[in-house]
Amino acid sequence: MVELELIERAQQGDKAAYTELIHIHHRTVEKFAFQCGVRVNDIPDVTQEVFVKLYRFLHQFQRERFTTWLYKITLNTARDYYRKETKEKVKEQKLNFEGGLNYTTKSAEDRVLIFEEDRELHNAIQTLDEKYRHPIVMFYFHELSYEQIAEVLNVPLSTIKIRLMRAKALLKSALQMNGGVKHGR
Amino acid sequence: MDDKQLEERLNLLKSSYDRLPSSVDTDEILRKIEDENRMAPIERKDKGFKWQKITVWAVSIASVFIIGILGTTFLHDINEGTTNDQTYSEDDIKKLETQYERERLKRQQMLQLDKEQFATLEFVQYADTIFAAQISPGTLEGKNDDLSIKDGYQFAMERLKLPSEMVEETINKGKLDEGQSISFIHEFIAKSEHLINFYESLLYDHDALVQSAKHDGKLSEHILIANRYNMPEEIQSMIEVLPKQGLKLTVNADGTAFQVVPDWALFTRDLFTVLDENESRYLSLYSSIPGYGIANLLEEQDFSVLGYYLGEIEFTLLNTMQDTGMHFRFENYYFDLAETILFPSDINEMFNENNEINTDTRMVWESLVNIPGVSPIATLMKPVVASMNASDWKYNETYKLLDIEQLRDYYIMALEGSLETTKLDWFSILPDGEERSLETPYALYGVHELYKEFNRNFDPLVLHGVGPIETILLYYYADGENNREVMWELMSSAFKKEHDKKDFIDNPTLQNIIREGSKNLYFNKDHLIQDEKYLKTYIGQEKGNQVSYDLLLYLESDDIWRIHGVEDYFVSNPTLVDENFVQQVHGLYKLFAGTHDQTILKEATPEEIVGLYYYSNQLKDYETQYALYIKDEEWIQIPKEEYMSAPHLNIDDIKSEFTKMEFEETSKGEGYVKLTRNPDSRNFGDEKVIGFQLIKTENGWRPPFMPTQ
Repeated sequence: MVELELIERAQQGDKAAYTELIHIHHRTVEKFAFQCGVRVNDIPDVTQEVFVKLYRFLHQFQRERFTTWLYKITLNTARDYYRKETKEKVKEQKLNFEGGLNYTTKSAEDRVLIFEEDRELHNAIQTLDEKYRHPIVMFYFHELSYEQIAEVLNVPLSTIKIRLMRAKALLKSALQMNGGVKHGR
Repeated sequence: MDDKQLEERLNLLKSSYDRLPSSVDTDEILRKIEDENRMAPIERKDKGFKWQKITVWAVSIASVFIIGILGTTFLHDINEGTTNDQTYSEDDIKKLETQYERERLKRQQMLQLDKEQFATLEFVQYADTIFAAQISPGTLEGKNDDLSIKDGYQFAMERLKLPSEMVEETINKGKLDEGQSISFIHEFIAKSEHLINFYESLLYDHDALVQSAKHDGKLSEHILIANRYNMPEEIQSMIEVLPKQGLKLTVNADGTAFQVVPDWALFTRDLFTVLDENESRYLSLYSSIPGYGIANLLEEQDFSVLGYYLGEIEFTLLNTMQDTGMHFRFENYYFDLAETILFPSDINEMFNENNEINTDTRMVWESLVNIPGVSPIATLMKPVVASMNASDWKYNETYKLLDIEQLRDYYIMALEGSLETTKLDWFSILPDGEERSLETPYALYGVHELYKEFNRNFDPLVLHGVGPIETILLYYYADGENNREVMWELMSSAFKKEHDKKDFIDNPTLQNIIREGSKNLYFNKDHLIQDEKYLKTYIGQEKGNQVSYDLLLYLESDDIWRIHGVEDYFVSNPTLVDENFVQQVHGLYKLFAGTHDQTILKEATPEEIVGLYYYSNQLKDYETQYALYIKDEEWIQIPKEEYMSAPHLNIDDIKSEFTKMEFEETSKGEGYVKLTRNPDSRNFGDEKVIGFQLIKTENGWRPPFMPTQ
């Protein structure tokens, strides 16, 4: 069944069609959430919230806009997830992560990014301001076009081009500052 | 590392993300969805959630109405009480529908439109869409968002309001913060644009008729308005309604088409008192550049003033919230306008037959370099203008390599706060001479605002671009307010090093720096002096019947003028060697000749010292003349006997030797008096002007040995 048809049926309340959509897109959501700074252990929660929200808005958007909405909602959910956390949870994290600065546990991160070179680049991306981080992630890891990114972020096309250019420059200088780690592969 | 290497690494990282564990539980998701649908929507108090929802929501209808962050302001004003939608009945919904229809009809009548015309207005369509989504059959079974029926209704109602109503309500509401201000501006401009589009298409529909309203072969709005009763009713209504909604009818530059443009003069006066100062700049900008893009601006304005607009847009962008619809719109205008100014479409027009840049372009470029504060365009243009100046404004390599992308980088740096303040070219900004009256009621016009702004947190950027006269006036104003903190902040760093802040605040060294009775402050470019460390200048004020340039200011490393003190002054107005002057000098002579007490001459002007020197000679009092010489051992000293026995000038009357004298300070504590020789003089050979050297000592100005050499 083509995706547009699935979306249409889901919009009409077909749960099976929606389940199918979740199966098709959950990897995108999980990866995107991780790349946006969500901790590995929190990804299941965030993913769940994204698909619940997506369903809530499902009837409001055109089928063609599904991808845009998926990214838009993931971005907002990831952002809100940590904003809404209780103080206890923050304390708990502090106890868990003695390093303090790491946004994920060492072991969980290690499982995903086994090469030092990857970890270095991933961390450099995470330290970018989100206005630079999001375009880089969408452009290079999700192959979204400038137009799509502009639509997800609701900013003009020209701004996306500027931000991407600037983001690359920032990444290059961050990597060069670290001396360009080259090992592990 | 180049782009290619970075992209390779990004690709490798991309594949590593495949290792991310997956554990999606679709059953759990579906269960949550079910649970949510079973619950009746209950109004939430969570402000943040509402914000986010509205943003997402607004984006979904963006194709109808580019709304940006609109709506959040108004939602915050909605009563936050917890009204449960379950208290609404089907009857209540019907009542809301009737009420909405009534409100809708009211606006339709205010605009004097028929039902179909009114329904084509974009903001009406948007309000209708919201109303339909929020309050419609089935609403009570549960909506798919968290907005209460009450809030949903109110949100739709706000969207229905006409620009004039928005203005009235906003003014009554009182001061808005920046977010609320930009929301208002965004919606106000959007609705005004919808009305403009509607009326321009109406004019287009009646083109054949309105084309008859001509004067001297060109369309005239005055003729159209005068003849409106011969026009269709729709046009008559339009003419009546436009001014009420802050719009006016006008004709394009070549007189071939009618236009509807904003005319917010009546609105803005009150609006500016409630809107955020910086955000409200968009209203002024939009009035100057209505419609989309900069085409209108280019058509209506001279090339020479485009730099002004570019500066205005830049300042607004750098001082307002980012990520708003207006910001994006004007960001595009900014780069478009910069490109037009730097790279006109017809490059040949830019250069004259000698390959020199034309005067208009040159004026614009020069004005860009001197935009005060942090300015991406000034940073970009500085080296270009400098190199152009050096190459007689001929096409050169620097211009050839100029890249507009560099402006984008500077712009981003400015937004991030990492672009430095532009250093202004004060030699070109400051006029050759300026006389500022202190007696008119406008003397401190603008200074009060500057004082208010600077007093807020002593941000030096507020003072960037402020000239030396204004700095003195600001200090004078602060002194009047007895605000010694501000006075201290206006002092030079060299002064601050030598003085203690607490002492200064307790007892300012410099009070009443403008002498009582001074009528004007003076600036003279001849007194703009570049020494080893600073660019400095002396601001003049009246002292008796002369102007003494004694208010010393330094341009410090942050490109801001600060006061160093009341110091060695020099007189710029030539002193005439007439009877008055001789009497003045005679008075000094009487005081000094008897005692040769050096302290007597401490306050004497350089001209008076020179006058006294030659007057002593005239009286053959060589002892007094000798007593005038500098006593400092650094300078050559000659024994008194030798001096007395040496030949002397033979002066009968100093008035017949010189006509006027004028002092000029060449460096700190050194200068010379220019003596203009009387043509009848028998001394000094053929020289028309003689320089007489003077050195500042602890007892005032003194000549060294052989001062005219």
